[in-house]
Amino acid sequence: MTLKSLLLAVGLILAGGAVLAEGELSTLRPTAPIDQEAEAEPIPDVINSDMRQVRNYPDQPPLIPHKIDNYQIDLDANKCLTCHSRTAVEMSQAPMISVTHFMNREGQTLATVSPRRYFCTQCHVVQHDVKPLVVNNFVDVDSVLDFVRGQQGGGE
Amino acid sequence: MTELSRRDVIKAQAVIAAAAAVGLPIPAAAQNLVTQADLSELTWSKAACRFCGTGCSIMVATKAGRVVATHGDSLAEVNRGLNCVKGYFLSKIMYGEDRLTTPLLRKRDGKYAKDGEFEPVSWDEAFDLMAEKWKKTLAEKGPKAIGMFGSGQWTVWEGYAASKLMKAGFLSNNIDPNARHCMASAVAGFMRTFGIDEPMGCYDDFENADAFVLWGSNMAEMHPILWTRISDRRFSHPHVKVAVLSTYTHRSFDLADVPVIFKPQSDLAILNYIANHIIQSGAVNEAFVAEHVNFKRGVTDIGYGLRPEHPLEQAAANTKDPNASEPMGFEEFKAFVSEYTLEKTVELTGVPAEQLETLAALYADPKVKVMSLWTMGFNQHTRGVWANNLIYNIHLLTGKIATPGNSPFSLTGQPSACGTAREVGTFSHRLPADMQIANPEHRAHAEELWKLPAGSIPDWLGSHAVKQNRDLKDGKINCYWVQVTNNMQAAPNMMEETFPGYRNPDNFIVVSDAYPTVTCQAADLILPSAMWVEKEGAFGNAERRTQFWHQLVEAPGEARSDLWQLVEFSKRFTTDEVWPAELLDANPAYKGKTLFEVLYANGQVDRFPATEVDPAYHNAEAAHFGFYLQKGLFEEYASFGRGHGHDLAPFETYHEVRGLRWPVVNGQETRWRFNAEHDPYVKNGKPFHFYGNKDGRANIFALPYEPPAESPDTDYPFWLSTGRVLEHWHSGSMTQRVPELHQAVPEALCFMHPDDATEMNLRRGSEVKVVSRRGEIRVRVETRGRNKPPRGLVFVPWFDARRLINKVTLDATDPISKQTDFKKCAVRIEPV
Amino acid sequence: MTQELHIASLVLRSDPAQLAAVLAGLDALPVEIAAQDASGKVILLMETEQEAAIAETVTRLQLMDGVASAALVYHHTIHPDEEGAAQ
Repeated sequence: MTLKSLLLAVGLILAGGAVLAEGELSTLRPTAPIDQEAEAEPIPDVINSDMRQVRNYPDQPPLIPHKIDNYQIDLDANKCLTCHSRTAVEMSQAPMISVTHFMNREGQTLATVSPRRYFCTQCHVVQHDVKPLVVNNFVDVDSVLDFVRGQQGGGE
Repeated sequence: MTELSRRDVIKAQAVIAAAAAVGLPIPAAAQNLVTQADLSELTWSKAACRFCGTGCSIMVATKAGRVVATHGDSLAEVNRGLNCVKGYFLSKIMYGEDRLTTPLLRKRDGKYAKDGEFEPVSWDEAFDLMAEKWKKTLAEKGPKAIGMFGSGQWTVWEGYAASKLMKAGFLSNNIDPNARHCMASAVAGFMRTFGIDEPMGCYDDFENADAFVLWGSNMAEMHPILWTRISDRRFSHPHVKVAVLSTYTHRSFDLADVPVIFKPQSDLAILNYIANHIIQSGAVNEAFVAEHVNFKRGVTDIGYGLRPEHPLEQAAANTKDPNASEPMGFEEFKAFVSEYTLEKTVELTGVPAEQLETLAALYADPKVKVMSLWTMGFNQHTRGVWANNLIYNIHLLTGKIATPGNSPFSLTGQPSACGTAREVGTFSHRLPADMQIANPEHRAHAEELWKLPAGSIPDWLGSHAVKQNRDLKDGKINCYWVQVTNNMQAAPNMMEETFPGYRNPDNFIVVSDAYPTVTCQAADLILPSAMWVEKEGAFGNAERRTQFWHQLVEAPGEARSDLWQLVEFSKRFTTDEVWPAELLDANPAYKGKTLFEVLYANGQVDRFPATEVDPAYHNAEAAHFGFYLQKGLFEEYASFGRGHGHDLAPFETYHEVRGLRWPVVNGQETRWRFNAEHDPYVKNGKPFHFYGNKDGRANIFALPYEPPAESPDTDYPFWLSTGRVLEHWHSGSMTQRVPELHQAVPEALCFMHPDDATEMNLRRGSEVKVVSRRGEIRVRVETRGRNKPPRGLVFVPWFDARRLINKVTLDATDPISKQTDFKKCAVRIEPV
Repeated sequence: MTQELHIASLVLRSDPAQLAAVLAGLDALPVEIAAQDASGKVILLMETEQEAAIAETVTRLQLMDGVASAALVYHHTIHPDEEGAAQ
């Protein structure tokens, strides 16, 4: 996203027009008036592309680009670690869990995954094949930097 | 370009902020300045997470007036660098494209009309009309005809300013927070047992307990960061046991050594069985009980908080004073619980005997330190106060309380349910620092600290959340202001109560929000609100920890903080317009003053100049009102609690530290209250002192199992439980606008047992209607998701505005706490 | 620099038909025009050693003919010891 689209985004927010369609309010319930019911959309599929997505900022946990149906993560087993643990990645070629996941509450690095990081789905989630309900105008800092460099080169 | 000064950079930032606010392109000169000055550097500041009651601390990066990144605060004791998936996406919650940026009023032919369509108006036009409606209603029908509904998402000073505006300004106690839906039963439980609100323990108990018991709490999804502390403890210390109790299997069961599924409402029987087991097995800590405990018998057959004409209320014996109790002795208590034998409890609950015995043994074994945790499973319960009292019974009988790791712990759902709703006293029956409207001494004390004439705070109890909706429907409340909550979606029995109330032609409904919610849609006037780090704020979490943040960015367009709205609105009223003539005649000094002057420019709230605001941060309210409003409100509020067991540190301290747990005495926070080793308020010379009660003792209550308000029958054969999911916070108005969170959980589904589905020729993905006696919704079936109900129960989360499950729920409440039971009503499932 | 310096930006909304007159009238006030558009929105920048001057200017702006609203958007105080060269 360039700063041009940032400005466009800011403009859209301010115009307020996005909110108003013929004087009625557009909410997260575009389907039917509050006191009526419309068809419930079918359950969408989980995106299973294995394509990694760009993060919004470095500390964002990566999204899961594949199905995790029936994955066991409990007292007995953690299915995610069978591919993403340090020792498994040679075989699986999956990304290894981040080094932060070896640190305990006191910031000490442990030999194995910290138990506080054991339940992967608290932070990592699959993505379904659906459009956003509302456009989000968040702009990452790199996009701002890119734009500015373009400006300095006499760009846009 | 010539050398840039810091001054030039700040000027550029000033222009950018203004351009962003009104949608003008950023002038080229300003862009270049920012570019060359310090573009790749980010400003990091701390803030409290906007979501749940855990109270994680967040580091927020800003650049050019926008939040560009967030991460968990490694210095914060609560979360030590971690966030849940929602917390990691906080950066995006303010940037949904449909932020409300101007007031919107329903109009027809250029004038306000209840059936009109929303048109943008100025703040002046919005407030003029509001003030006109409020004045007319106050003049014609008095202060009981206006109402306000807020939430545990108000910052501390917003809740305080709102409570003051209503109770001390409009002289109306009709103000309640949505915390009523969330933890009112926990509050009443604390008050009945301990005489003082909020947990005695703290999160340090997680690293000290040998056993964790979850009573109606799915912490793996709802309090994920606290769950990391439990899983850390469980996996690192193999002797530790985790028991999880619920009416359906959910993610917290993945860590359960003792997984217990019980029949809805029968938790009351399990609690009494455990008390009985403790007594029968000789596990009572007799010295502790003799020294620190009273026994009381509570009244029974107290009804279900439905409308008074409902047959269940007519049939109940003790609806008038459901909170009454009488003293009893240990032997009587022993006899009372003795009927909860293992056999009878197995029959009532459907739980296997071995599980009940294992669970009871955790509590009975003097060597096992037990932390009990609960949220909505206990609190959203027509006997929720009882459930709270009964869990304290167990901890008090064994003396497993107020020491590290021995901790009955009520968790909260909202970021400031404790800090704002409870401590500030935004409930219709409360004043700050646990004081009660019903107590004349408490009202007099509040009047003194608020510099009000004696007798001004009304003595009548205001309408609570559910009653407010009934009052709106019945035309008893005609002017209603809702802030920071989406109550059309959140409140029970929407089709019979909430929706008719909002659309009642006699009523004028104002809703302040950052985004267009279904509550906005049902309103007559919408006010655009600043959110989260667009204003200076403070939240109080579930372990009594108060946390502050600075304003980090500007709100878009004409959005203003709830605080600005409340205080600015107060300028439009004079005491002559809204106070009774007798009160003014007796106190002529107050004549002709605006409510702003009486409540906020009162020599206390306005005593700190705007120059005291940290120069590194903007403060929109200080800039507008000309004084440090937040500090003034906080310090006046803190004067209620200092020296009374609720001591708060000085204002500035909280901007420095990652929160402190009150009471903060001589700069020291308190981790375990009532414990002489940790709590400076323990003054009886004994190891424990339950000083909330005048006799220094905690109360054990004899309370029975009683059936729920509505149970499945042949017409409506399923139990319905509602609740939340990890990825969406409450009504989803913020999280559903973050694409990653929406794509993670795009819609609410009806979770049911695969055999129930098969029996109705349904399968995963089939569309069904969930129908109750009150309403219906259309939704898709899920048979293999994260929640696995037993046969005969369905679970539908309520975050999704397209599936308003509260059309179906029942507005039965706990008669003591007035909190709705969202976990139990009867429905049928119809294929579409 | 020995005094505190206050930098503020303001947003003015004016009647588009009277925009020219409003802009002309700004000469009398201690503000710079940073940006404007045809819809009547104007962004003003202020630099002053007297904090009170900001509020006073906002008030005077609000009283001008053709001005619908004037609001303070950003305010930053630079202390004497902070002023430095490029970072």
